[in-house]
Amino acid sequence: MERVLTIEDLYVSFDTYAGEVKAVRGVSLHVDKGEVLAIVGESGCGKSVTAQSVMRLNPEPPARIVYGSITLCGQDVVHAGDKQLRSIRGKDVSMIFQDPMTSLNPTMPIGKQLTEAIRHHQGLGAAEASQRAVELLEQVRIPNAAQRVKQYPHEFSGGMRQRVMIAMALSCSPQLLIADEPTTALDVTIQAQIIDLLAAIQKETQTAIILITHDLGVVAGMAHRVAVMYAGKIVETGSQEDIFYRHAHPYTEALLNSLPRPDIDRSSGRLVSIPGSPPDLFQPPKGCPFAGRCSYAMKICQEQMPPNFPQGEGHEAACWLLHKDCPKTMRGGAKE
Amino acid sequence: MNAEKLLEVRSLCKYFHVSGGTLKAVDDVSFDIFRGETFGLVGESGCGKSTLGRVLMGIYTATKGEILYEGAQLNPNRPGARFRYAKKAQIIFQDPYASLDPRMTVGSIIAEGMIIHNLYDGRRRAERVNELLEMVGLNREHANRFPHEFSGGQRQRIGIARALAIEPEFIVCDEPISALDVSIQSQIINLLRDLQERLNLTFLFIAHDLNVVKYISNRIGVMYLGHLVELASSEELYARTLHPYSNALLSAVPIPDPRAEREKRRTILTGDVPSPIHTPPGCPFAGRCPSVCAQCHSEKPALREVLPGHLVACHLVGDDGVFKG
Amino acid sequence: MSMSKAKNAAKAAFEPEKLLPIDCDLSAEDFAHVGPDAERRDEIVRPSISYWRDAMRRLKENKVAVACMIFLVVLILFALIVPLVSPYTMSEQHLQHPNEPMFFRAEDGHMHIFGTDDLGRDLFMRLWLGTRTSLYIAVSVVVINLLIGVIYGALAGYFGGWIDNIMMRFIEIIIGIPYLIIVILLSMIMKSGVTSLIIAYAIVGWVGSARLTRGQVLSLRTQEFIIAAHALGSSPWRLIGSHIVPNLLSVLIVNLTLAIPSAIFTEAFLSYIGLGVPLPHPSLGNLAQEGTLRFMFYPQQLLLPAIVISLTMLSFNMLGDGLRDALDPRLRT
Repeated sequence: MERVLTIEDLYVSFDTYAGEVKAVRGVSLHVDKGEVLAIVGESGCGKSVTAQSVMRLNPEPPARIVYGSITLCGQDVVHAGDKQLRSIRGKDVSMIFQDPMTSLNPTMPIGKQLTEAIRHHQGLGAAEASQRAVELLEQVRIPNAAQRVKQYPHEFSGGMRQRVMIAMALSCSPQLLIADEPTTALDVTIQAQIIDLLAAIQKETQTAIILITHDLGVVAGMAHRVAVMYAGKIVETGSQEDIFYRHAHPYTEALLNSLPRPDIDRSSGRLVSIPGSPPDLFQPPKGCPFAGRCSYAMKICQEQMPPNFPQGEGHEAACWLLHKDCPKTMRGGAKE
Repeated sequence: MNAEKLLEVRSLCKYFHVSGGTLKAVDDVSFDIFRGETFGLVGESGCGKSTLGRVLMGIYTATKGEILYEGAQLNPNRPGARFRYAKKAQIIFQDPYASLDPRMTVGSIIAEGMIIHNLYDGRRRAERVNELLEMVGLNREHANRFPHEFSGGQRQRIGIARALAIEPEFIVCDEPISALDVSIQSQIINLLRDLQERLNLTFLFIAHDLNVVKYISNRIGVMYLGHLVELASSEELYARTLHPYSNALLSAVPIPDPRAEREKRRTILTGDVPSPIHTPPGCPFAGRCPSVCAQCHSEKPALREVLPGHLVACHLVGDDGVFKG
Repeated sequence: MSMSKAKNAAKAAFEPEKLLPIDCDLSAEDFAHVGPDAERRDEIVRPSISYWRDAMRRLKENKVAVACMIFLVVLILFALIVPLVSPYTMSEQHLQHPNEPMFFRAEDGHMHIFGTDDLGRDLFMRLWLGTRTSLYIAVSVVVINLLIGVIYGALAGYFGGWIDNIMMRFIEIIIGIPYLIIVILLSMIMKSGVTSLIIAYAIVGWVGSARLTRGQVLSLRTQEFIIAAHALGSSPWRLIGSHIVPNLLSVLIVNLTLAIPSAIFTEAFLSYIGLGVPLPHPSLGNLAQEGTLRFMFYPQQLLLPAIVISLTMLSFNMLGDGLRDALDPRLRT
């Protein structure tokens, strides 16, 4: 299996008026060729910051990579200079953003924007580039691609713009595609279209994808592996099946249980909810960051951050409940 | 449930004049809301659900049609009537960042309604702010802080406390959880349900997430392009979905369960929602409908009751409540 | 400099969090169940800071803006105090000492710090009195313009529709009239002087802030917190007074600071061409005008008022920029 991206022990902080906000605190992950890794978590958990660090897109300052290494296709991203970063961006890794409305330049026709990156990286001529633009639009299933390349962003609907963004991200056949909440700003019926499109393109091109989302439904639809983040740390990683059916971390459990599923209604009583809000990373708590909201919290949880306990092939979780000495009675509830 | 009608909406229209024509945000919508129930309103962005909510709040004036509150006609243009209605009907917004005045402390945000309606004296007001803060799950120490210091879920609680401060009986919840995180969403839903029970509130719950609406609502209306296309009790709507749009909407919602997601038969709609400025003459959904027929393009289907309590606007649904697509 | 060094040192010293190994030995006591901690999970750890205090903090960090502020305070103090304590009056002529150089000491022992003009009047006294006049005119003009503009613009923006339409057309008519014509017409009707100058400028000057306010109000009006207050049943006056204006203040303060230099310049210009403050009363404009006549022989008579005009305008502009940065919530980190 070819490794596309390796992140090791990454720490990213933001300098603000109140002091240092530790947005990412020791994240390690990897992505292989042809796989979809979903990073799931709530807003402010550091999932976007982690992903944007791969492209070094966090504005520096206030952001800075405090510690750790990022290796993308054999290149060191953390110490890369501006020139090297420019060649990495677009060619090796590209990104789809949440808001397709603001990510396109309103004064430039779609075709020209699409081929800007190709012309920069591959030095194509104008005629070839416009031919390629039409192909790209066809690849993302936009009808009448030959006419559409001459149109401006305002002539495209939200869903169509997100397709254009995907086409643009794919234009240089990157090794890794980072999709940062690609469907959040879209309507439900359009969301389904975009997820299907992304999954189909992923199958065709075998591009590795990092899918950042808070929507576990989207994860269930297309991810191969899942990393659950909380308060700047990855608390559980595993295959899609591991996370949905054999989850070991109480946060993953609570997250899955708190979703209103289609099979419940008014008569089913209260929803399971996680009390409180995530900690402020300006002053992260000692020990496990989830301890304050965790119904299983133990004394050790408030004092020591748990290490990652392996739970089988490629599945690990950071929770003291999984320690060999932890009494098995601590955790009720049947699991598969 | 007692069937006392709190709010009756009769052929309500709200048009906006924009460059390029008339935007029919809400077009000929009729329904009732009963006292003590939660009426869910679902639809995609631009379908007019938020506009409808604001017309019902008296924030916008209806272009045509009428709204009866407790049997009396509502006329938001008469200042006195608007003021008295504000005491009864309140609104909770989607965006907990934009809906709180950034220059005011949380305490004065919550107290504002009491000051406007001249409820209680100064000291009682301060006590009431503390009570409200605790009622929505915040601390009384939070009263002196500013909105930007709170997290999204906490701000939404502040918004709820503001709406509750003047003891309304009807609350329009305009996508109150769409901007919140998953773990916070369920907190807010539970809070709203508890408050409804405790204070005997009536909710109009606007959302685009069908699972959430199903969970919280007694009855659900599905909107598309300014029209109400289907209306039924929430169990009925899920058990027997009649309108093709409701069907597509239901099947588009991703299920957080990979196995179920793989097995699910999905109707993926092609195309986008048409512009509400140049609406097609026939059924608003005709352009995207998988089972469209000739009649759909020429004639607008009326919302009619096909089964007890189940209304649908579709030519393909027979009077016996069977879909013949 | 030292701060960045400290940061670098901190970077080098950074050690990643050390975790216990997964097979470490723990006692049963460590696994005692404590459950979720209600205190800890809803705590707000950041210090509470209001918008205005936060803005002040950012302004203080801006060295240039602070320097400008200090300069302006000193300038205003000089303009207020010097004319009171000076041994000379503004029109007191010493014909035996015309056009004396700077730091000229007269027989009576008093010093003419900036020298004298061709009538032997003390320039130090006249310059600070002129600064006072100019600042007085500029500030009153700007404040009057702002008051009229904000009320007019807020009403137009808030009520919108045909009211807005009529009010905006009226503004366009006013913009069509060159203010120089109004000044000349007014000086024919009224006695020329400070008051008529302020009135003339106020008649046309408020349109800028009216347009600015209207634009801001239009965008504020659609904000959810304004709709929320409206839904609570608050009256238009309450809405404007307690929600719209406080949220406009930051923009208005910046606008006010940036409008002062242009008002100073306008006053100087009008006085320079003889339509402004009538002699012998000094203003920065007519001092500069007199200075030009003798620039070839006594350059300080032009340079001194010119320097005061330039520095004042520059300070107000840079302070305005600093304020804009400090008050803009988009730059908040």
